[in-house]
Amino acid sequence: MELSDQDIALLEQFQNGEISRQTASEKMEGFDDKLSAYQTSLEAIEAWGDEQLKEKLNKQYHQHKQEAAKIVSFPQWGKYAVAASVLIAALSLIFLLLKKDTPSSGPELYAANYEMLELPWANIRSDIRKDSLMLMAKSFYNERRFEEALEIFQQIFHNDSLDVSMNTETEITIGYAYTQMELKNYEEATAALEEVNEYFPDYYECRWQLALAYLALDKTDKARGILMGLAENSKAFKKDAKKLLKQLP
Amino acid sequence: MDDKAFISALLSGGTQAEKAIQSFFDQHKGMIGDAIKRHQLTETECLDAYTDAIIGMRRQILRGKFEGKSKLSTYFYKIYYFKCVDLIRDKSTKSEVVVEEFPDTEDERPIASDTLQTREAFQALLAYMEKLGKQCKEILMYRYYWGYEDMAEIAHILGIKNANTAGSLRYRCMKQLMKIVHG
Repeated sequence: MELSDQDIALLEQFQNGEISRQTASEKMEGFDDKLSAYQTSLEAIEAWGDEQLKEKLNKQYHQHKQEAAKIVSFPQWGKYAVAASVLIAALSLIFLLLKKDTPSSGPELYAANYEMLELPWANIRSDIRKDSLMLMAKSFYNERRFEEALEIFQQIFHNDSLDVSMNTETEITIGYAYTQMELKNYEEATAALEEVNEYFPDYYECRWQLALAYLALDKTDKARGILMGLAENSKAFKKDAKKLLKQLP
Repeated sequence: MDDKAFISALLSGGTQAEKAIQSFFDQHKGMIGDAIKRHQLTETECLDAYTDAIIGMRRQILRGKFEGKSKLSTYFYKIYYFKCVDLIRDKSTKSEVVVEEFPDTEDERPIASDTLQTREAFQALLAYMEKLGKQCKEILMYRYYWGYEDMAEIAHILGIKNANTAGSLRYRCMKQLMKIVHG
């Protein structure tokens, strides 16, 4: 096969849609053969490029992992620095606890008490249809990629073909509510948590979150009612609820 | 980098495209650890699936097959997820554990027949490239795989004298490859 630089240039122009087949074949002998060889060559470059990229990314991954390992292994003086930081943190905590005797506003109390909760989904299996979506959502949630988690929750809600039982629907609603909490969309979170509370009033973790969401919205009266119920009925949240009740403005 | 910026960088080619891929890889690599825990696959298997998924996603975007109906990360996750499922299915078959059902989400992997057909065909393509010298392989990769348009930039990366030399080398290498392919 005789090839010139001009042939390559013409083949590129044809491939990019800059010239027609007729123009290209008029200017080049054996156009079809050359085009076929050119296209296979591009595929070969693509395959080789994929291999090289894969190798490069694998290398990048292992390099980062090694670097991360180096950061974790502290030098000798690092231990003292960590000890000093822990001491300062402990002293700050004691100071804050002492300071907390005075009543605070709802949002302040929310900020002091809120922490991200794990999604309470114990029996998800990756081989069941709806579960695969739930796993995806959970994975995004755990990685603190809440907007993406929310997108999946909304997909599940809007997919009528998924056979979702009452229990599962509640689990999804909880996940959705917790995600909205993380996104600071407290109105949406309270609506979802109220829904769960209606069907499962004994699910105290949700009620605790609901109380916190109302605090975030500065609806302290609503929060008070829920906290009183928790202080009375919930073993797990009794102590925290009582403490929070004392701090309410 | 948001989805739009990522896609635009990928389509522009060159350094931008390379950096976009590297940054995407770093940004989502938490998915590797997650799949290790969830699917009980080894780190090597998950890393393999992850890099394959990135390559698959890149190809789909360049071919205009990502329609932007969902976020890119969701789209990518689906490609990655199904690659992991393939591995699980493979392991399950070997250990004779039946996997009851597979996810309802659309399988976003590039269709084999639409891309590089089979592993054998892929190996054959690699074999053509292996017959080229190192510099030829690299210059072709930068020009055609990564889409570097500026030969001066390629010359700089590969330590070639100037843009003209790089340009003629590129033609020479392409002709050599086409001859190898033609047989």
